[in-house]
Amino acid sequence: MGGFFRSKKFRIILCILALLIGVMLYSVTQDGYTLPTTGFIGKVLQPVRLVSNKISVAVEDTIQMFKDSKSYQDENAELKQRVAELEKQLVDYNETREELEELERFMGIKEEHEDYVLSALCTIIGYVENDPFHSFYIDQGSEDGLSLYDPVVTSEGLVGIISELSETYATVETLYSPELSVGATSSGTDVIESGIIEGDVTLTADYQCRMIYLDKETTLKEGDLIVTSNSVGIFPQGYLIGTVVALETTESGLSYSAVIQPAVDYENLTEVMVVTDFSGKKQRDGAE
Amino acid sequence: MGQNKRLFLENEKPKRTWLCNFIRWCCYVVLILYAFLFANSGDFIKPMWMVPMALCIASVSGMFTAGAVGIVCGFLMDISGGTLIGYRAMALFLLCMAMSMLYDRMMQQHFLNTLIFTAIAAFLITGFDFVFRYWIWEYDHLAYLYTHYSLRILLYTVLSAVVCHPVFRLIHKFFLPARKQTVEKKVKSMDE
Repeated sequence: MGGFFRSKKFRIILCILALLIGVMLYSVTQDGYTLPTTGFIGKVLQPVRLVSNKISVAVEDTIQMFKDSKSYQDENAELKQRVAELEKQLVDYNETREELEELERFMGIKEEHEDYVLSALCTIIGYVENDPFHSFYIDQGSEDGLSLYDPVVTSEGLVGIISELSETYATVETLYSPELSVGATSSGTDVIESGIIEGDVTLTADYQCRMIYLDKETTLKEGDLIVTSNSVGIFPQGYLIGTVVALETTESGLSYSAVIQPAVDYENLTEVMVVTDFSGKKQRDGAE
Repeated sequence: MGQNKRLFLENEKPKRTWLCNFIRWCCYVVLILYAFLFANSGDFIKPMWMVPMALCIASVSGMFTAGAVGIVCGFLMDISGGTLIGYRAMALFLLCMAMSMLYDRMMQQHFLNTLIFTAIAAFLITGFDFVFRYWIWEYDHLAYLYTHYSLRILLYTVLSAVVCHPVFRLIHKFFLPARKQTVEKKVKSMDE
């Protein structure tokens, strides 16, 4: 044993320890900065450290995953349930928001036309089977205060009239039907042009209808707005129907007709309102 | 052979027959409801599913049962089509009864028969629809209406029979009591 303390090996070990202690003391005096050598080594070995760290993290994660699989499963199930709940809340929120927006739009009608008595919001529950003229059913009927031939509207414009009524539902005949004639005039034009809006089977596929009986000297042009004229008291006066898309001469050549693009987007229509009473209607009822 | 046939009829278990009939009619009700809901489910041209369905049921039913099925399906078609209530019911009542009689006496269960009968029924119903809804009211563009709507509905309805026939064949295969299966098929198997 005494031989070891006197040997060269022991002396070398002591030297190394002394060197290391010296380095330690020197690094203490550096106030937190690394030594140039260690900095260089660290720089060189940084990518290796990065990779090794990634590997070790991955391995650690894998081991942890196996260790915690049960708790993960529980957590996953819990999170899934939470996500389902949140999704349901989101759907409810979206539905409520859409309904609110729809109601806000319909409130606009009431603000613009104070004389209108509007029904509650009616939902489209189905379409008349294979009807070329896009007639549909709504979820309210006579029990909800609707009457036959009441005008059906949205905030965008006129939709049609109630053509058939039961206690709990009603059939709506749209502007595309040739059986429905709506007295119409132009709006915002220098000369007021009058005509009749009727459905045309050649246009219904494109969700358009026709304004007939226009004068040969008509000044209507593409983009002009067409509104109801309330000539017979069925429709409220001045309610938007649509815009002129094109002008065509009739077969006889004596008058013009205009292709009308209704303001209502029928393809995406889900809810409507029924005007159960309006000032013009009262006059008509009084006259009767 | 006559003795064998009698034996076959007597050997049927009434309880099982009742259950088969019950399941079979439940399937019919579900399919008819589907046809009704589909009819009102969108603003597009679609086949009249109720026609091949009623005819398929009529082909294995007695005359009056077939007539009753025709009336029910016809009424549902009237409601979904917004037509005068009872008009399609009447047409389908007569067609189903005729179908039942023909299958009872002359015809066999065959895909082509179903297809031909559906085509005839669809032609008559779309034809009546066209006449009573548009033609007598002197609508404009009648030819356009017929070619773009009536003819398309007719074609789709005939095509729907291609789907209906195998579905009903499957129902009849599993749930139609053996006694109601075509006599000639039974007789043939007994002869063999």
